[in-house]
Amino acid sequence: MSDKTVTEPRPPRQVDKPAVLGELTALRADVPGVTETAVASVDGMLIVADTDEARPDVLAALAATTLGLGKSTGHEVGMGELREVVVRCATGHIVVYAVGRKALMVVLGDEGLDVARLHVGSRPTVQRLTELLEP
Amino acid sequence: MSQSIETALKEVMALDGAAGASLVDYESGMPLGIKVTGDFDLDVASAVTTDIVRTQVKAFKALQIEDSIEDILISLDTQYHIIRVIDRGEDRLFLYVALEREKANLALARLTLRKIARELAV
Amino acid sequence: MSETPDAARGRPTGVLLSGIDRRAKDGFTGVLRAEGPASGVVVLREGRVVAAATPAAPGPESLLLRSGRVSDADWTAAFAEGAPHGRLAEALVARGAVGSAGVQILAATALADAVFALALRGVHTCAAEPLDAAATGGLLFLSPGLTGDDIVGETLRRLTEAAEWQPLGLTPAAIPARASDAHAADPVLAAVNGRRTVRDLAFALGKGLFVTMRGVADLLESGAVTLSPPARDAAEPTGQPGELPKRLRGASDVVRVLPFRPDR
Repeated sequence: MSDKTVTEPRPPRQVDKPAVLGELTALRADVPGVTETAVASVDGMLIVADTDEARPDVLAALAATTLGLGKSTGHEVGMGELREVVVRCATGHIVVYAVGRKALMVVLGDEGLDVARLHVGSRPTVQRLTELLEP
Repeated sequence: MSQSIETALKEVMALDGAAGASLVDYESGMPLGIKVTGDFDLDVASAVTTDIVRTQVKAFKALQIEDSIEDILISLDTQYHIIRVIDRGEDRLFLYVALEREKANLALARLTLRKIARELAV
Repeated sequence: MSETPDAARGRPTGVLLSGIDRRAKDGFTGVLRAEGPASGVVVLREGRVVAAATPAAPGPESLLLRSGRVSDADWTAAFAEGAPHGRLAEALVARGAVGSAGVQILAATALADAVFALALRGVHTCAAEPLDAAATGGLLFLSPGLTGDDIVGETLRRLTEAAEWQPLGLTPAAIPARASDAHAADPVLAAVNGRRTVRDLAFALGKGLFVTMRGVADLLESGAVTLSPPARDAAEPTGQPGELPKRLRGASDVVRVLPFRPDR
């Protein structure tokens, strides 16, 4: 098994990491095409990662930048609160969700990722993550 | 020049004594084109042949024989069955032809199959 | 969902295959939208099946790009040129990215693999819609397309083989793990990392789902890999199941193939 659970020494608060990781692995199991996931603070500090090939710290930092850019663009054009940012590449997808006001979840998927199903499946995950991270 | 599946199979069927021909994707066993004269059931034959080719390829791998299979000949009482393997990068195919033994010219048939296999535009 | 009165005669009885069978006989032109544990579309033109796509199996784009057979630049250019007019296949051939036979082979194998993946995972509803050129333009169309009998026969053949793998636990959602440090000369084995499902492996390799399942079956037989059950069948780490459509027992066409496997 090449599962790596990388933990960050300075989480924003005392976080139930096993529970957060449980949410991430459950999401990967439930939505075909999801390959890697991570949860980070909005300033890019990694909290928990369920990653394989991606470098978790770098992923966390870039996801935070992506989320920030999405939020700014959304505000600029007056489209209201950000739902998620979806990046599509030749062989995959990167989706970043806001988790509450202080955290984010980044999901990596292959090109077959069912984005519609992910959006449905990720809502409860984001909700539960929000509760876990902002008790 | 390059050929489509249709023209390749037509050319195979122009061989003396040809009773049926098919082009098969041997990784999945799916027939991609079939031409027959009479009531020869090439659908079933193609599926069975896939197993033969897969078994052969596996055996060669196990024996660490680097040579790739060019063709496989099955001689029956009244027919020759020739399996011409087309292993080109991602496309793993074979041309399959059944020939009436008394009308067929085996050497010419194998030569022609080689040419058709080379010209198939994948 | 329909029952299986015709099973003994080898007629398709799953929602998807019977839908394709009937529409093909009617000379239907349009889209069959399949929903269930797996979702996807099957496109027919005058009763012939010309394309099918689902997230459950790699499509032509994955098959071409992941294998490195076509460059991203060629694909992007061909897509921009052909997709708006539903002529992606012609554009790929015109650019010299794929040969005229190669594009037919690709379209036919991707189509059959998508229908197989849908039938295997199970389809609950199958609704007919008019052909929307804008929505389906990006698909790779097979010309002239497969007859209903061809695609149903091919899918049943694949389901019959897949039914033999089911007792081994080999499903698209199963997760193979390397049993030993066996040399990973086999490309399927090389992609096994104990994390990827069989479906994920197909995408990572740029190979069809059926071909990947066959490859994993061979590896299982030789003892090179073992299978973990699908994660969702394992202990649920967080509880609270039920938000996502779960696989329903009996939704798969496999169970209909099993009882009437030919005697041998």
